[in-house]
Amino acid sequence: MPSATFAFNVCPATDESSYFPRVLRTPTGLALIEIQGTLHTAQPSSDSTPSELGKLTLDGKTAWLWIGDHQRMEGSIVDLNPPFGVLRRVTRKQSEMEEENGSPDGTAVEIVEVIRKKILFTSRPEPIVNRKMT
Amino acid sequence: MEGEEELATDLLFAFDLIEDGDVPEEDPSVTSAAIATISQPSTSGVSTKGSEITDSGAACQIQLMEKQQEQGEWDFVIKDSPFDFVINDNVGQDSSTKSPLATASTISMNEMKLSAREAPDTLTLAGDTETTDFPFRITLATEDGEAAIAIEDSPLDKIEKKSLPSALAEDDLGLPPPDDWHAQMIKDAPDFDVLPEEEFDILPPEEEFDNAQNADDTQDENFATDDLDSANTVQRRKCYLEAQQSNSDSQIPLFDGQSSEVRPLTLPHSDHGNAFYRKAKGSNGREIVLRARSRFLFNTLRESSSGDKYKRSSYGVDIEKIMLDIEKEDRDKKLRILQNEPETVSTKYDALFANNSEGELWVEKWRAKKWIDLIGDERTHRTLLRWLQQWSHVVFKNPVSAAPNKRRVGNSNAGKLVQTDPFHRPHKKLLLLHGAPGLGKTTVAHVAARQAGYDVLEINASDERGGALVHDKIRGAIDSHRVGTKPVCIIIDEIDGGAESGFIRVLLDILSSDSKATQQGHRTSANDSKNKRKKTAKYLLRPVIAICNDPFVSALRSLRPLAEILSYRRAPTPNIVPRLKEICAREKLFVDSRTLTELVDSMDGDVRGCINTLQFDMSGKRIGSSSVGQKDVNVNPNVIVGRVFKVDKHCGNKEESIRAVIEKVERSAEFDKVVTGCFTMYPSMYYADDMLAKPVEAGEWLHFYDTLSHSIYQDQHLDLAAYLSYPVGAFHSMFSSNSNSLKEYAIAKTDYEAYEAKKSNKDLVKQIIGSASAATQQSFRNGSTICTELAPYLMHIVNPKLNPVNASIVLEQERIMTMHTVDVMIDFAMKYIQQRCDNGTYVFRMDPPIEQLALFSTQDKDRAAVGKYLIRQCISQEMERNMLLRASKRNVVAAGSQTLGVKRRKSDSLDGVDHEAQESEEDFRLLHKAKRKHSASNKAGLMSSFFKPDRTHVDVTDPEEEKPINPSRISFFKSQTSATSTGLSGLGGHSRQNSLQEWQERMKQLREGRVWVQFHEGFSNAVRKPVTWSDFWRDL
Repeated sequence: MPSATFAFNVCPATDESSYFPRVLRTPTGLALIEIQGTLHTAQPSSDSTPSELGKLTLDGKTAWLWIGDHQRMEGSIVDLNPPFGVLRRVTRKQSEMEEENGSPDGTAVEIVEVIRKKILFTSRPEPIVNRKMT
Repeated sequence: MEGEEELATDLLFAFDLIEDGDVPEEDPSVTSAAIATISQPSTSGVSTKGSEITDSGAACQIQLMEKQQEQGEWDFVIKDSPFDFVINDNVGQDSSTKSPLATASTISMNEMKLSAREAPDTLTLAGDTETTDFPFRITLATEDGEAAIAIEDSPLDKIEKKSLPSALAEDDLGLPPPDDWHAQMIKDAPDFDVLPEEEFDILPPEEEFDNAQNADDTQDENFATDDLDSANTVQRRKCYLEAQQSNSDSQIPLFDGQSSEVRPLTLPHSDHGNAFYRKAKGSNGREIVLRARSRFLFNTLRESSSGDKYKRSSYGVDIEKIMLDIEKEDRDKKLRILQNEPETVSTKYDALFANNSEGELWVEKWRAKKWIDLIGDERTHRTLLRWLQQWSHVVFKNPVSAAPNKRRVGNSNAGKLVQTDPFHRPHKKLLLLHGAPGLGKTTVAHVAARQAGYDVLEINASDERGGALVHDKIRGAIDSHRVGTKPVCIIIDEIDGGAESGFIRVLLDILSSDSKATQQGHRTSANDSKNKRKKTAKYLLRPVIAICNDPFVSALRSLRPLAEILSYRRAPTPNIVPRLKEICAREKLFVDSRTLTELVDSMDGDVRGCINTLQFDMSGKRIGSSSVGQKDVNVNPNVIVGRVFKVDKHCGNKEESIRAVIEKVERSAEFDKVVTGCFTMYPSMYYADDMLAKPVEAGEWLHFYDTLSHSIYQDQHLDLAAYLSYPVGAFHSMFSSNSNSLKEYAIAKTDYEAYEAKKSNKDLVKQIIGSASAATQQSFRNGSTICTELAPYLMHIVNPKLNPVNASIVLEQERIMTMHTVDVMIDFAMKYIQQRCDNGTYVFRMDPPIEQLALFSTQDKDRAAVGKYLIRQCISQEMERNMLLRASKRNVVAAGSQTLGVKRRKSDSLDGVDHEAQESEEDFRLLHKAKRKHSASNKAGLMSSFFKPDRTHVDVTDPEEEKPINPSRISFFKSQTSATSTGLSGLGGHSRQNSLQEWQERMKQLREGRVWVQFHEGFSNAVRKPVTWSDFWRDL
């Protein structure tokens, strides 16, 4: 089994500019959304370029997700138990690695985020007719 | 006389008994049989004389021995007697006044020794009424110093051995010549008073007979134990035997066919007809007066005496009782024939039919009602009964008999029956009895069920409609236990008629719920018996017998694997004819055996049809072969095919046999099926042939048939249909032989299987070519070229001969081959699918399975389907990588680098592909670099190029935006065509002019209807897939 060294930044930089309410957002200002289904876009999923999906509105515990022009989903904010860790591989130079007794194959991992809540959309998308996006 | 040495030889007599209460006259043939069974004495001692009553099993021995040293003293030994004796010591008029003459000691239950101090006048033993149904007495008497034993009212009947005055021995009786003693006896049988006067001389002394008669008339007043006899007065049996020992000759056999003479003997006091005495004289001069015997009682005796021995008969059939019934019936029949007045004799057998009205069908009237009446394939009967007996553990709570199982293991045919379940039921819970109509399947099922101790519930599947109704009926019968009656055995008749009524479905339900219950029972295992018992409601605990004519009916297809299939064959003609003859005799229809044989043969063993024909012809009182009607039978084509390849023994010459076959085919009118069957089966038949002459000729005939049917069905030349059956006749003449035996189901399948295989292969071809590129589709148009030209090579291409050791250590050559393979596979949309085998290993299978098309032998196919795991794993991994690569490349290509696409099309060689792959990889990397480097505006340009294929869509939705896009696009393409593949980085520069706003607008349009969620029904957990830790790390 491969092994790697872990680095954990205890206090990651917080991004206050996030749209998400404090409950949801992670230190870096992201939130986790779970949809029961497949998200189809015109672009291939392998591409890393961002594309706009839709709009998310939050109202207390319930959340609404507007996808495309014609779909709306109702969801809720739920706890993640256990919390979800987001890791990032850190590649370092050889010399750097030898100094810190890292794993032999040069892998080192850094915990970027710990996500404790997510917005869960389990219901079937409701069809919405001809809603113009702003 | 008693001192002489000759007397040392014992006289042994075995007598059967006569039942004379009901039967006024004795059957002479029976009497003669009695004489024949007088058996050879077994010398039990030099100085003894006595008599021994034996049957073949030596069940009973009575020896009367006189000790030589002390004359007048007797030892009376009863060995192995069937009875427990009670001793009535000194019973009798004479002995009561004297001191006890004899002492008796019971040695064991069945053996007794008596010794008399002096020759007793009368010593009587009586059977114990408590233990036996047949009280009897043995009287030991002496007269003039001669010992005699009289056994009275014994199951062996009264046998009295008495030595007569020697003077009588020389007496000439004036008997008829030895040759026709039998005839004489028959003639004289009914009469008692024909005996000439002088023969009275040889009779035993008057008072002896008087005694005997008195005993009869006065309820044996000379015996104290009246009650013993009172039970027996109706069936008073007496056998009086008088043996006269000649001085010189004690040669045994006393009587045999040639040298003995028997004739009726009239006795003074026997004129009331109750007694029947005969006198027999042996060649050696000894004479016997005897009563005819009844085997009936003798057998009853035997049965009761050694019950254990005879009752363990494995089929649960009381063989002894059946035998008795047969014999009784036999005797009655003979009697009736003898007396020519069948109606007056009221026996059990006749009573059965006494009240039959004239209008009744003979088929019902003469239906076999007992096990012994069954005619037919006895092995089938036994198998059926054995199957029923296997239920008796669960139904009757009988102990499981291990012995019959053991015996059956050797028999491969019945071996299937051996497997039993936790309830010790048969492995298959349903018995499917099939056979041609009229052979007696229903009768056998009924009789066997009753024989095994069940009540029969018959359901006719062709009568009952409606699944729910049937279900209630069957379930009710199975589950409910009726009080006071026997358990029920369900017989479902004509199950092939019940296809649409859901009958089969009901049965399947019941069987499947049973098997489920059984499996659960297994799982909960034996130790958890409480749990098991709870579930018994679902079990099928009663035998179900289904009867059909044709087991290959499509309706029964689902039932067949669940049922024990038992084929009921026709009974051999010699078995049927006597039965028919008997029926004819009873119905006063006079038909000779030959006609009956002909009838049976023409009916093909259909007993019901035979009987019906007989009754039908009863009105005319004549049966000729001409009047025998053929019935309309629907014959399975497969049966006809079987018939084609067999030599018919009944048909004399070949021509006749061919004609019979042709007639059969014409009657069935299933020409196509029969010819197809012939065509499929003839290669596997035995036939004498020279240089393939016969197959060639067969081919000609088949062609002839095809031509005919073509012109019949295509051109409506229907008059040609008359010749359709002749090819079958030709097949019969060419390929029929005695050694050919055809399994019917073998034919039934092959045609269908071929059809199915063809269909699936066609589908496969369609699948393969359907996913291929258009160019390939063009070059391989029809299925046959794909099969012959594409699939075999494809098979080799996708199974390269590699020798992979490690994914990282690969020879260049091998790497190229792998890449090539991957390329081809992707082009044909082929995949390797990992599957888990039964033995736990994993294999990669090709999908679609082209080995089905490319290879013929199943072994090759299997090998090819699995292939080498390592190679396929290697290829499979490579393929996944390549697919990803292609997907990303396709984007790049779509982004405008059409030069790449052109290049790719051009490069079809191995190197080309490889090179291209590398190239595209490079492009990809560069692209990413560029993306990362450039700002959002750069990205925007890139994105715009991405959506180039959607241009038309954009145009349609937003025509006014056409103009602003156009220049940028054109410039973009310009840049692309001029740029090399590595010049993609310049791409950003061109698109930089496009503002972010434009991109946003574009995105907005594209988003319209472009982003959507496809909802997945169910729990999201259901789509979780396992990810191993290594997987996780590999991608990091």
